[in-house]
Amino acid sequence: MTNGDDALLDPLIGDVIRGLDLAVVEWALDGTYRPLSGTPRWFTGTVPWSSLPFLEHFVADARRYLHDHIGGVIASDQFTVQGHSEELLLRARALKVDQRLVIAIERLQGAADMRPILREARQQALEHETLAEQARSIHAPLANVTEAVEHLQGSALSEPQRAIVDHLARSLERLREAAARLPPARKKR
Amino acid sequence: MISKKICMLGSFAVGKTSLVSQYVSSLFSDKYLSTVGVKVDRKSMTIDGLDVTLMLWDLYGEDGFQTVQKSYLRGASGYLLVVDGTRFQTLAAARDLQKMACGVLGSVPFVVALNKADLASEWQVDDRALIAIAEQGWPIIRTSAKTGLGVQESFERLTRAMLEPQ
Repeated sequence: MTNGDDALLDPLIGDVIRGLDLAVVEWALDGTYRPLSGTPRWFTGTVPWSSLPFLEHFVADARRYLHDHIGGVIASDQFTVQGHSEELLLRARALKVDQRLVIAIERLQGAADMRPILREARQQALEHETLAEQARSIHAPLANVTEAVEHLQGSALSEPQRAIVDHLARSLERLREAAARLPPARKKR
Repeated sequence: MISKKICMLGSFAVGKTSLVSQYVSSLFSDKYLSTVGVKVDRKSMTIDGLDVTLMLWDLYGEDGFQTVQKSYLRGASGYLLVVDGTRFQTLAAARDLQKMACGVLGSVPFVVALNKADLASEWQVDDRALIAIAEQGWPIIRTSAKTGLGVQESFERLTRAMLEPQ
């Protein structure tokens, strides 16, 4: 195990960072970023780091956090920037090394990219909302018809009329059971 | 050049990203691509002779899967509260978000964008609900990210309010 200085001097580290497709930059007090590694392929075509307001926001959070948590590491939320041909999902992590604020930025791809899952989940939530809305629109007229049939059942009817009303009541019962199985409105979280 | 930060707030799938896209790039896509991370767009404009750059923070929609971090509101001069006119429940979500934003930012200007005005046949937010909002003094503008209706007006009205001495 080597100490930190030796490790930084090892040219292998640059290859490791490149291999991991990370961007490692140092934040300076004037708000600029000094690359500590080569620019990753995915960053080509995007705006400079200093033009990313989200990163600026994260640095402010990170400075506060690392002031109180010596030796700590803080990770950002996911953020997106427009790349050369596609939107990139990124996450930054910050730590202090010898009082220098170092930020490692990774591109979230494959399993780390939660966008398809969240999008599918939200799509399903939208569809659930629509179904619940449709269910709500059935319940009110169903209650009205139930009331009317119950009224008829309590009335003086001829034998053929009663047979029809009883048939209606049985069908209505099945309809109510089916309606009760429709999705309820999602509870507010 | 004056720089101002605006946050886009609203329930998921109300059209926050589409409004930004329409305003910044005059683009609209019918395909719903839910925002997962935070995205910041810029838009420069001249308003009443002043050059202003707006930083539009498009935050993911508040829902059971993700909760908007209050810290993202920090430094915002105003916010656009987006409601989907075809989903009544997004109005209640907007009320909650407004309370949260007010708690973090104080009484900074905001505008309610009543979005999806092009989907009139599916409209759910009725006049009674709108009157109740208007009575609270909330400025409401009907918008359509699809047609562009009210989009520029919303951002300009908000920017004007932000530039006024508080």
